[in-house]
Amino acid sequence: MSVLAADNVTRHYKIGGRHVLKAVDGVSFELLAGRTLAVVGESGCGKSTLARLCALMEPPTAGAISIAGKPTAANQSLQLQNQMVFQNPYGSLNPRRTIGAILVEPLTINNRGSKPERIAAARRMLDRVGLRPEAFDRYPHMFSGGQRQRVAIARALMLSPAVVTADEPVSALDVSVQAQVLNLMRDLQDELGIAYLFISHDISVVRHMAQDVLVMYCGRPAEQGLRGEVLDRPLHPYTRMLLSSTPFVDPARRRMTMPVRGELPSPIDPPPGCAFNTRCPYAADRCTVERPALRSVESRLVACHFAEKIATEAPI
Amino acid sequence: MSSLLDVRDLSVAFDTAAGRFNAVQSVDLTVASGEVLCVVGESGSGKSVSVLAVMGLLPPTGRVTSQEIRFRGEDLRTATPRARRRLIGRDVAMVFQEPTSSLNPCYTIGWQIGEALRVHGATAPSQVRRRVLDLLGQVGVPAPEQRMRSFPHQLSGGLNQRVMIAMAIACDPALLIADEPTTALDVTVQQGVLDLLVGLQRDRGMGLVLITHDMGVVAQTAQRVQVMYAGQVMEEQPADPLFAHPRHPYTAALLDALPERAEGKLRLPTIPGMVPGIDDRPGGCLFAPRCRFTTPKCTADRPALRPVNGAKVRCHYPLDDAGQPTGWTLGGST
Ligand SMILES: Nc1ncnc2c1ncn2[C@@H]1O[C@H](COP(=O)(O)OP(=O)(O)O)[C@@H](O)[C@H]1O
Ligand SMILES: Nc1ncnc2c1ncn2[C@@H]1O[C@H](COP(=O)(O)OP(=O)(O)O)[C@@H](O)[C@H]1O
Ligand code: SF4
Ligand SMILES: [Mg+2]
Ligand SMILES: [Mg+2]
Repeated sequence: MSVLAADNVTRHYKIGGRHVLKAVDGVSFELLAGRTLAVVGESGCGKSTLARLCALMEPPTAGAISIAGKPTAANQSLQLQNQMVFQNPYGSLNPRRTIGAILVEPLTINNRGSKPERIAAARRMLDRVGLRPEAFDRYPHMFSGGQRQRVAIARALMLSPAVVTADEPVSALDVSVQAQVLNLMRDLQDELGIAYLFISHDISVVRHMAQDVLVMYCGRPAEQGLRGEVLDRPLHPYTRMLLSSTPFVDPARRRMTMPVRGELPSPIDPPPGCAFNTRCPYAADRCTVERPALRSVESRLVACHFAEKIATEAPI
Repeated sequence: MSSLLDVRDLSVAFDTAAGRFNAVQSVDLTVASGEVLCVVGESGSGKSVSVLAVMGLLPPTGRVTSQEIRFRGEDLRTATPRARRRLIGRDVAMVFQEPTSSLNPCYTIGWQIGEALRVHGATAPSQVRRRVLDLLGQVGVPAPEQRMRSFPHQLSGGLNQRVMIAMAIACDPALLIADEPTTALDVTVQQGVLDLLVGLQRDRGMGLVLITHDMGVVAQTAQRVQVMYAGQVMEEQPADPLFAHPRHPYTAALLDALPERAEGKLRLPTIPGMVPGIDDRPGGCLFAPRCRFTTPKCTADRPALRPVNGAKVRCHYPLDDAGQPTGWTLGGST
């Protein structure tokens, strides 16, 4: 069952009256129950905006989002089915409220259960995310970054959502703590069947967590499909560039050696045609005038004029 | 390779409201010309404080002690922080994590690089201008003529970091210390900045100390690696053997926790617990509360950093090639 679906979702921002910034421009996907879809790309490519749209924190300027199979346009209450976890475990928790109050709040606002039931539910959740009972009466500043991220995850789960949208949930954490939080997210998924929309810029984390991958560039999908296709046999030159520039520890993983060229173009004035043409080693005249459509090539979707040609090249 | 920096037994303690805190304990740091040393560790492990102490850049609340701090053989310990900065200011340069907060928003980048040159004695405007253009070219800033008239906010994070590097190498330092220089950058930009640093280091025969929390960055750049934990160096090795055969249980656990190394595993191996803070630093081995091989000896005696198989390891039971602790028995004899 599709728990979260985006149909040609678009978010344009007006900048200074004259310019339009296309933060998200025509993204579609379907996230099934119990699965993880990762969104990857450089900063500014629209990951967080897409996350906010999917969590119904702001409306798309075009396109539609469905949650649990229902269109969200006229039904804001579906928001409860998609809860968010943010990157910064320091800024996302109210410093003046105890952990217990933070966890009980979503239940109170939505009139779930009696007061003792809410408190009992919060205590169970605290235990479930691996925090001690004493944490209930403490304040966020008394916890480390990793523990706060556990609290943020606990808060997101209080209303038993079908989807959790996590925007760079482990990017601010050290490796050993990151591993603990990723394991927790994995365990909760197995146990509760929740789906994750998992935003990350870290390819290794994505490979570990997600079954489905969406690579974005300048607000548009560059390549999307199963992890095994997109990350192991990438066909879009941008996916290849991302993989080539990832600093892997294991030399065997550093097999992709596509040179990195140039920098991200300005988001208010992206290059015409394929937005990647200014950095792409495959770019030809056609790429500067005609925008490549997202189409199916070798069991994934890819937006590059030369995807078929790249597919016939030696596997990287 | 001639030795540039020799630091022995460096400790830094801060007097805080909660008492004295040993941020850095007995750290040795040596770098030779032409060498790339990576200092790696999780946040709070003392990486920044140790190099700031060497540079004389710590606030007065930081009490620094050491057996030896020499630059090119000259003892810096007796020098005041000010005198120390003058002594090594021309020969040692630093690059920090956040280029935009280190650059002055009110001046063009051309002026700021020029200022770095003027501070070190270049005066004739035409000469300064030529050097600025030359430096911008060397650090890979496209269209230097135009860019030198840009303000920091008009450039991307990656270009600003290149500008910082240009300022750092303006006076031809013998040693460059880069503290998390790519942490704020995208991987696509990071690669270019790392290539630039290592390229400059190689071409100029500089020593390079690269501080990072990212094992991938270490693998791509380091010749020698120091792994820090809770203010101490736990292990030191050349890079390749470090990744093949970590000798300290902490290094091994840290590498195991990388998602990259978890191919096919559903759960990642974790290190239980947390890095000890100011009030719960254990008396014995600092890693003992989290180590899978802890014995009573570990809890009682702080191990020294000692040579093992071409590495230096601060552990009573250094790991062998199979990852097993040598001399280890459950009760913890030997
Ligand atoms: N509220 C907003 N108003 C104007 N521009 C925005 C707004 N939110 C995001 N943007 C712009 O949209 C683009 C995508 O941003 P974001 O979704 O945050 O990217 P990412 O999370 O991938 O780094 C960026 O250029 C950003 O500056
Ligand atoms: N000025 C200071 N006063 C008190 N404690 C400090 C000060 N600067 C750093 N510390 C502490 O010293 C420890 C090491 O810090 P640092 O060297 O910055 O770590 P990192 O390895 O992340 O660079 C940390 O616990 C930090 O909180
Ligand atoms: S369409 Fe052209 S420019 Fe875009 S990725 Fe493909 S080859 Fe490169
Ligand atoms: Mg973001
Ligand atoms: Mg630091």
